[in-house]
Amino acid sequence: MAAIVTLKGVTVTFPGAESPIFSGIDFSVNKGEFVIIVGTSGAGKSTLLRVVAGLLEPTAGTVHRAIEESDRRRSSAMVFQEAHLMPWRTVRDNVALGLEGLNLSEEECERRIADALALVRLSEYGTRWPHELSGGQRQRIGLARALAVEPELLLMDEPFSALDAITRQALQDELLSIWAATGKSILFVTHDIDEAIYLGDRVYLLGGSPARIVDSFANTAARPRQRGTADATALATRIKDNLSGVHDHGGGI
Amino acid sequence: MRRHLYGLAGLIVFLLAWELLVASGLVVSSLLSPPSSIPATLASEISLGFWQKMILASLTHYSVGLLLGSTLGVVAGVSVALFPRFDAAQAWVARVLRPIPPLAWIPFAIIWFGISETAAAFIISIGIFWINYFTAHAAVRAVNPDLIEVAVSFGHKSLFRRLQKVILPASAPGILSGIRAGLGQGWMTVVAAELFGITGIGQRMMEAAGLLATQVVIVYMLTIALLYGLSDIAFVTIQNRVLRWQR
Repeated sequence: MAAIVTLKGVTVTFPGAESPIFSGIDFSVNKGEFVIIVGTSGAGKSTLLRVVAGLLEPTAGTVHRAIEESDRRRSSAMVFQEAHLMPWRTVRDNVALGLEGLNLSEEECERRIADALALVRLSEYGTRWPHELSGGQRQRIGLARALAVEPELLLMDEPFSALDAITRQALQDELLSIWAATGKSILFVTHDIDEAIYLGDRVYLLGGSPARIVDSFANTAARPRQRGTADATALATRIKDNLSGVHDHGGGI
Repeated sequence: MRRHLYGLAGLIVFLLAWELLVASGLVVSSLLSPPSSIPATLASEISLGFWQKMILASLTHYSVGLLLGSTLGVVAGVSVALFPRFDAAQAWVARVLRPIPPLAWIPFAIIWFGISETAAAFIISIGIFWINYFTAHAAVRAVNPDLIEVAVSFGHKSLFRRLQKVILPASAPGILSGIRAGLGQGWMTVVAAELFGITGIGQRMMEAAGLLATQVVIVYMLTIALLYGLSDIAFVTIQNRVLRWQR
């Protein structure tokens, strides 16, 4: 299967820091794949995502993107932990943010905005202001904003971690439906082990200090998945054991 | 509604007390004209053409000073907030110049521009500049860096794009409140700036005061209050429209 993005030996050291935040990271995301990075607090999950997004240059190693950016398309788009919608923009204009730098016709922009809002089931919310939305709705608009640029790869930085459990589970299911409908590749970071097992095709564990990939596995459970099955519990134990192991040797959960 | 009624009642009591103070002889009418003399004086000033002429003259250098002070203040405040080195370089200069009151610049205004409208506009602009400078600086520094990161991640990487997409809209509430404060500061300075002989409301007030025509002085005091009130209402209307996204 063709890799959308491949990282080889990626290391990031912040200026002034004695040791890297993570080092020697190798992984790839294939076309249409749902990849999870689950890790301990401070392991640099968000930083790693920023490296993949091209927002941060690695100190060492390479990031190879199969899809190059052009004036009409972006290779990836990010969904943040907090939606961070621009409060002075309506929902429609927030979704349009990523399209404004692209050389697209007005009709094409409107089609993409309408499609993205339809995917997150908020078509009728276009004229609302962000402060008129619930936390879950804001996060869905954050997702629509990323979907509107029609990226090959969606980068998701703990997008549901600030939501209550019921909304979180509903949005996880909604994300899986969108993923199935669009065929996008997704790189999703989380500290939530159950979320990692429920969503991912492949799971990488990031832990230790400096952080590294301490384990990875394919989750071959059939979809739609059930939560809390014996297989899921076994995988959760494997993740806990691996991350606890590195924690005992200098990591930090 | 009840609040407005109280306000109206307070105003009537104030005017009555003022009228009684003069009518009872406690204050000599040549030192303070009663409110009842104001309508006739205003009518006279209008019919002689002074009122319109003075307002137009004051409005002219007020507007120039406001435009100049606000524009330069906002541009300087935003620029300094964007570039930390520029910020550090200007910090002491700003600390030295900021406490100097606009009126202390009158000698230089006369030396540089003579007794002219330009001199008055210059003095008015100084006070307005500093208000806008500091509010714009603080507003830009307070912009949520996460919003900037979102814009950058969606391709708006250049400084111009970041300004256009995030920094200016996010700091607009602060910048606009600075411009509004400058509107008021400008009217406070306009009279003082005209005291040294530049045509306008301040000059007319000084002429009237010299003749103990306190009713004329009061007419122009109330005129300033009216002009400030009208400009403030107009600005708030625009501000509310621009910031309609706020709760």
